[in-house]
Amino acid sequence: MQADPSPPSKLQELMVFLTLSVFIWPFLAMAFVGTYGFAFWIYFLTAGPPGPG
Amino acid sequence: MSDAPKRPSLWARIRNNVFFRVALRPSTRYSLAFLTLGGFIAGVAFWGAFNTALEVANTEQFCITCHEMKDNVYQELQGTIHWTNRSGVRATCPDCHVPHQWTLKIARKMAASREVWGHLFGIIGTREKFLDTRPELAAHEWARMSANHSQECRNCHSPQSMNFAKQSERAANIHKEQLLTGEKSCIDCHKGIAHRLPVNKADEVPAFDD
Repeated sequence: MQADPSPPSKLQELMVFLTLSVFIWPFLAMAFVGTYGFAFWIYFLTAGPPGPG
Repeated sequence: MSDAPKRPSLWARIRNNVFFRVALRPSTRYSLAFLTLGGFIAGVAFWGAFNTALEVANTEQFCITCHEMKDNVYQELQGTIHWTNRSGVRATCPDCHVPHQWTLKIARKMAASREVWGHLFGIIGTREKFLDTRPELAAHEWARMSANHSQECRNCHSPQSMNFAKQSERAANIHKEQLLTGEKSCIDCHKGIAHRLPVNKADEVPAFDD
């Protein structure tokens, strides 16, 4: 690891915070939910539709 | 150490990227209270938007934005008791065709990507193509409903609440023999009640046999 360069500016930190909270985490959440649904879909395609309950 | 200048590893390059350098270290300017509040608000907004979008995609108005649905099955529904009846309660597309349980609903939403594909490439883009594909499409839905013992019917209809005295003797007897025993569920007999039957299946409906 190298020595820490000058600490980030307040604007830099704010932009990173907004990028993470507005774009990256929501995108990952959608991707996660989509993958979850997709996995169940593929599972039902091979194992047959879900039973009662 | 070799003399050739070493290319930094991928991880090193990520670490040195200004975005990741800022993102992966503790904040120097913002308090934990501010950051967690920001994450909390963003989370509430995301979940609200997600559920709103999910609900919008779960309405009849959304379904019939595709002409395949609007021109075929939606028209047929309008002649049935699930469209208009004396009590004014009706079923919309997702009431019967989208599972209400969350995991199954999400799975169905992802499966709908298949329908987007079908729409883009016009797989049932004409009335003729729709009628040709209908036996297969109906079979999917019948198999699904039969497997879950007609869960989507039972979201509204309940055998326990049926007043057999108000049914015809024949219907009451068959319901007692086959429905109450769990031998059969709604869809096993009541096919083609909300849409027309595929043509080649029209004479295979036990409920309408004589």
